[in-house]
Amino acid sequence: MHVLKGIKNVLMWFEHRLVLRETFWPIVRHPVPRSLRRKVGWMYVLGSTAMTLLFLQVATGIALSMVYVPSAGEAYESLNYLNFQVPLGWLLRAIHNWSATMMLIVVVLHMTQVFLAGAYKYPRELTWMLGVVLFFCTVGMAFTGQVLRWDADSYWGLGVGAAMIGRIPYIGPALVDLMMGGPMVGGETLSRFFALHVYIIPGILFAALGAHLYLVVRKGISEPPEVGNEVDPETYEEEYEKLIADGEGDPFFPGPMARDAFFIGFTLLFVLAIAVVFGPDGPGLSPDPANVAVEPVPDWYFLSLFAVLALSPRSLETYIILIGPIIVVGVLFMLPIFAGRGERHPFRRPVAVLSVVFIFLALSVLTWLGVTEPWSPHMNAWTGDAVPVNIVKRLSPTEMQGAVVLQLKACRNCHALDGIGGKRGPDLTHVGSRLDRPALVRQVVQGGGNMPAYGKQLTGAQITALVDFLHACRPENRPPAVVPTPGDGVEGPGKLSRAGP
Amino acid sequence: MNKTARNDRLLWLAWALGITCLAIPLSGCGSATGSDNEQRVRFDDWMPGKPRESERERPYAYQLNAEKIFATSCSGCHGDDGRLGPAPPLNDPLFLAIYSPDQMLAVLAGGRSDGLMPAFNAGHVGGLTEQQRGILVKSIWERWGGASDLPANIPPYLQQATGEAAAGKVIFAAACSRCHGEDGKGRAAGALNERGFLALVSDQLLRRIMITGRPDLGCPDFVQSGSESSLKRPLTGADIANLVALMSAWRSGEEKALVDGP
Repeated sequence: MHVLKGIKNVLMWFEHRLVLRETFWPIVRHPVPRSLRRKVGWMYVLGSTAMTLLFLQVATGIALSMVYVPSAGEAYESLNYLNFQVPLGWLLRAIHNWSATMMLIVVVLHMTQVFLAGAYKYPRELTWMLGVVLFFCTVGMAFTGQVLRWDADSYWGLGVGAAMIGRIPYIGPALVDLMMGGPMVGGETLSRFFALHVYIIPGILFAALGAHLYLVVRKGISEPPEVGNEVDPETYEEEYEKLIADGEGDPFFPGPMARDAFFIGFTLLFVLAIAVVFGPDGPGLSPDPANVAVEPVPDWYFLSLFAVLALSPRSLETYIILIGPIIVVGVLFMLPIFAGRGERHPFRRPVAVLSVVFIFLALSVLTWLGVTEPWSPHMNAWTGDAVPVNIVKRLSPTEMQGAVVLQLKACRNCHALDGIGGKRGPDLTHVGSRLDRPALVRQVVQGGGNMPAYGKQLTGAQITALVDFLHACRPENRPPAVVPTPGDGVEGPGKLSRAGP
Repeated sequence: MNKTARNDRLLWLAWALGITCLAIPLSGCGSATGSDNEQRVRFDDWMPGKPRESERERPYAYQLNAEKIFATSCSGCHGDDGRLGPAPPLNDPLFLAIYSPDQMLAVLAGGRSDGLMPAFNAGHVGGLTEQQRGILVKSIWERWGGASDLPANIPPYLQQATGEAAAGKVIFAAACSRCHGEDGKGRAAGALNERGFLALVSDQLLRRIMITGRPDLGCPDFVQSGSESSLKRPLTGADIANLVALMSAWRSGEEKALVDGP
């Protein structure tokens, strides 16, 4: 008993000077609406989960920084050292990676939940805006973290990023210089991104997080929305006070907090499990500027952006790069200013619900396109993807040579046969039923429709054999294509031109 | 158990789990021991996510698995299993019996100037290192060579003496025309007497196909072509030289026609 009393005395000595209990007890006991006891209360666990994942990132990040060398020459090897030699170093990298992934997912879910529940409305507009800052900080951490992996994807991806920023009028080159520590990816680049990832963005993140939490506690957790219960700045606070008045509200600790803790524990176990099963991400090929046989692909969270840029017409690219981000940031920030009152329940906000559905669908489709990259040539197809056997079996000797020419000239990098090969150009499996010989010759020799002209890269015999092969590419028993060529038909455009002066 | 007590227990459980998750990474903080070339601990070997040094992503030049090299660099033209591609099969014991690894190494390094086979040396995109070429060639003979039931008197791969086109014409009519048509103008197996074909294949490739046939596509080898024809005997090296001379004459005739016009 003496020992316990002694410990208590020591604790009280500190408490007397720090006044922690007096400061924090009211915070952890801050009242929340009683309606959170219902199942809908589980919707409120996402924010604290995201915060815990951030702490996990800090913990694993600090541990990683003890081995990682932020220098262009050694970063890549230090990651391999972590992967293959440091005991459980790979698991540390895996947890950092999967926890980052999970954090981004949870942050997006949290934002979506807050948006759908209308919790961003009066008087929590500033909480939302700080949340937007936190979201962009999280995305910034994801991007800079991907750069720190310093493999070929990171190296070439950074080059693409620099080219994009360089397009900004007037200040573009200066910004690139600031970001890269020079006009191109170099030794200083990695140090800059390391500073961003470890000091600058986390600094902003924690400052914004502190303010976000302060507002959450001061302005209270929003009550679950009810149909017809509109937010009116004149009366809202009075009504909310009634919800959390003595005897009406629940203290955050222990009830709702236990629910948070349960979900957090589950999420952490889940992160650990996928880290154990799937392991760390990369590093991929070494960042060797001489190795150009690399198809840089960003991490999954940027694939949708990657797809937008790859698919947008060239004339629109600059606007998408320069104006798109301003619109996105502006809309997210100004949302509570424009829609800060009125209905909160999603049943009464069809535009809000449909916007969420549209955004998620668009992001999913774009991410899928980013994964499959139909616009990108498939660089190994010409030597790696065999000509389908069912096609080979029906070829004549000349057509067979044409098939070799097709492989040899790397046509397969952009064109597929039976769905195998590049997706940039049309599949050639049945091209013989779409184009006749003159049209095929013209297409091969002159190119067109985004295809380069191959006339100067092929001999006459190669063109003949290739066209023979393409001509034979059609379903069995299907006659070859008959395409009216100018001058042949009665009503062709050639006839008209011949009738001219 | 009342509700508050249960909540308390859940809370402690969650905290314990959370702290465990945070503590696990710290177990990697042990001092570095052991050599640089081995993984230092083994107790995590059961975890499927643990990366293996052997699976480390490296440039293609480090790929030393012969089957993967074949699948990346060869199967595009020679077929997935070394057969049924548009280019002549490598999965062909008869061919591997008359051809040598050294000859294949030379072709791999330099390509064929008179045919479509490109060079696969390190100077080309998608090229192979000398070591990779060695491994690849060795594995081709290991996988597909060494057949024991080969026919006797196989004509040599390289031509010994020049042939006669006139003599070749007689043999063509007897042994080849039933599939390739009179004067090679085409029947079931397609035409041979075409500029597109003749300009792209070397005499050496013609000779090889006449010896080995294309077993994957049902084109007969020298034994079948001869024995099943009115010759009633396998084709000899001299027969094949004559056939090659005939096709060579067709080729120069085609070229002459191109220059002179019809």
